[in-house]
Amino acid sequence: MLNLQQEDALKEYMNMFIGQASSLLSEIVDKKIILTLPQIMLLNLEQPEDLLRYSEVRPTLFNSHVVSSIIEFGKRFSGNARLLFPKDKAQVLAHLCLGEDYEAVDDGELTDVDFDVIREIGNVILNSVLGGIGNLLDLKLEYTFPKVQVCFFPEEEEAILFNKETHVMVICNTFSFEDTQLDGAIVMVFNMSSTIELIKKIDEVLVDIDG
Amino acid sequence: MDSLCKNILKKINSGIIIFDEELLISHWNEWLEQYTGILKDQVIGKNVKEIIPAFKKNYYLQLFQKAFKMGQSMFCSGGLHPVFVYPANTMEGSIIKQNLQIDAIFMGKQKYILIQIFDTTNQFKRVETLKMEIANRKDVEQLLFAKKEQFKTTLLSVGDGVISTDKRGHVQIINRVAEELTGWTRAEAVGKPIETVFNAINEFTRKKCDYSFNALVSSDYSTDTIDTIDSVILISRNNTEIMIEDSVSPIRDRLGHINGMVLVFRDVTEKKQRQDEIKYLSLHDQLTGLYNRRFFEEELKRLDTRRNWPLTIILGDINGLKLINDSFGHGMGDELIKKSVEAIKNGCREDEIICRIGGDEFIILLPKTDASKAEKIVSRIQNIASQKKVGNLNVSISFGIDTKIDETDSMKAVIKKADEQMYHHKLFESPDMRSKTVNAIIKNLYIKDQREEEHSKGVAKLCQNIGAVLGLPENKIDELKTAGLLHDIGKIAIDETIFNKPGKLTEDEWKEIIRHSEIGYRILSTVKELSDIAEYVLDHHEKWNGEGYPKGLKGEEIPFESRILNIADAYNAMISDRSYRNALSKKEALEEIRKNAGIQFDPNLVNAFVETIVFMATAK
Repeated sequence: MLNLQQEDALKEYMNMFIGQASSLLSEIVDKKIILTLPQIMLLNLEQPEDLLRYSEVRPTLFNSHVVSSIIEFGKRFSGNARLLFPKDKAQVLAHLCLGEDYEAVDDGELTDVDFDVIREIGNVILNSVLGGIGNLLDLKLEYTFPKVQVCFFPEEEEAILFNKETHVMVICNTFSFEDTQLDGAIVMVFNMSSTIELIKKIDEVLVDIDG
Repeated sequence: MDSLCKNILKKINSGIIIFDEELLISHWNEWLEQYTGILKDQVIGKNVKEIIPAFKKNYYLQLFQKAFKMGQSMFCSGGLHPVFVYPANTMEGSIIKQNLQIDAIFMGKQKYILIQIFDTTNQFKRVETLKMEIANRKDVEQLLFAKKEQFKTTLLSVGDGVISTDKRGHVQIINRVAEELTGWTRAEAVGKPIETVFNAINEFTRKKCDYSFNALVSSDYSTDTIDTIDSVILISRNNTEIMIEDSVSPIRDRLGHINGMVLVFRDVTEKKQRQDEIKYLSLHDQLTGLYNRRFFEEELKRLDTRRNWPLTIILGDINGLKLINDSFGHGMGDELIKKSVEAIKNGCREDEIICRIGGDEFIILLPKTDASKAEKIVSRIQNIASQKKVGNLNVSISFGIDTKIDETDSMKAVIKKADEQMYHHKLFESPDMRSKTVNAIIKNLYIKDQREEEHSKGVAKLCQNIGAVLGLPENKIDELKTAGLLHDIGKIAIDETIFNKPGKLTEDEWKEIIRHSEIGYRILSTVKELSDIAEYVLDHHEKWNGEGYPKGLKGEEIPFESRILNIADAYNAMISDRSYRNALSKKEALEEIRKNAGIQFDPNLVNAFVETIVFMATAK
């Protein structure tokens, strides 16, 4: 639903927001963390071509157990945003952030502390992204604290993506720590008017740039 | 409403700090008062910077600014952040963890920030303990794994076959040696019942041995390791039979319940063979394969019971063995023993107990057999023996028989009687055998060396004539003639190549040569009638001056007959061709004899000898 230029612009914005998040994260954990966005798409899943595109580029982590931090935001621009990691990688992430030896404690289950850490990471990243969008739209967003859940994504996929809010932004992101790399995804679901506003805003920016 | 809010804030089980855009604290709840020991009045109106820990102060300030600006809510995990407010009485170095929740509250133009502080120390500690436990468990697991590997490697590389099973008796571990012995590979064997992989039978009954787990459990094993019967044959997968020794040990759990078993076994085929060999040798005679004296003594004890009476003993003794050993060598002696044993074996029934109890002595044990039956056996053996020949000698065995009929006879007496009877027979049978043997020896000697026949006959003739010249009685002359014929009989035992060697003899060869007079003596002395002649033969190389052999006798110490033999032997030798020289003429030979009168020869006899030669020449 976005043309190439619009998508580029959106990606550029998102890169900026995520960049802020990564510098914040780096500061929190005293380690260099680089976040990159290989892929971003804004989809209307009621449109067959968007559905097709989604099925083509759907991240592989969507086939596994995932840990998600969810923030809901409201008012004019409303919807929810979630940061997803494969469950096993979420643990790696938590341990790396805590500066612990990952191998020694691999029992496959996440502890309360792991959940707190993931909650904060989700908080930082989603806040950056949502805050960025809020700035972009000149809106003050109100949002909840992140909730952290573990689920098998395919089971929840329909409930997450195909609800009353028809527009979905899927952002694939990659975390790079010293020598570790792990993939995550941000899924934002928002309503039609929000989407229109976002696109309008992007167009305005593009007009500004291109003259 | 305001008091309601305040009451609610009081009840909240976490710390609440509210401050405005100026960062001035406007609320500090009771929980915090209790937690930090800092009273509300001490902080209200103060800048929040004063309570923020110095470390990461800027980070928090940035967060607050952001929250004021954007209205963002933030969450700070205790795992990632230092303590925000210190509890009262904090010990230095103790771990405190707090999660923070930062909310921006906008009321019209007024902006506040609400910080909610959750103490997660306990939660964190719980997690830490959990982690440590997990880490410990991992360490223990790793240690166990290492130990297990160590045991496994040890087990797999020991030189014995090792198979261990689980509770159901199914193979769990099988080492390389066990793989080789059973013919099952590890991959094939694991999980199979032990009886399938370890197919063992009893050596004697050929019945399958029960190695099943039930057999182990049902047996009352007070000890930990059970050495099973030692006559076990393992039938490998390709049906090879392997003699093994094995032991089974139960594997017990902490409560002593049997949880599996370990079977250790080794190939004892070679060991068993050696044992059997040793056992065989300890009870058998190596040369003949018959039972030996030890076996005989044991067997006699065993058989000497009422059930086996009449118990007859046949004692046999080979005739002329010593003579043959001395004259033809031990090879031929052994041959004689073997032939005799053949005769004895063929004469006996298959299951008769035959023992060789001495060099030439045999015993046949005949339980439940009387003397008449034994006599039949003896005559059968003698009949067979008489048809057997060693060289051109007949095999001859003398026998004695006696029987234990009841308890009044002692076994010792029975053997003694049999022995006496045997010697009695020997008196008649042996001389005959011996003279035959002497004849055979002479014949053999002549076959071996044709020149010897001429020489012996020549010497005999000379002796006979010297006797006549000296006017000796007829029987003496005959004796001298026989002595002449037999004087070199000892040469039968000496390697002929030494005699025929051209050139000088080595010292060893010379020692060998001079043995012939002794050997001759030994052979001849076995025949009673030839015992005098044996003496003459022994001394026929003694010299008048005492420099001869074997004893170095001097002058008249040398028997008269030997002196005669000496001259005759020397003369005949000189007039014949020898390998080391040509023959002398008779004249030269005589001259030589004369020269040596008083040195080698009896000077008195030399004159008689010269006369004899003259007499012989004229008689022609």
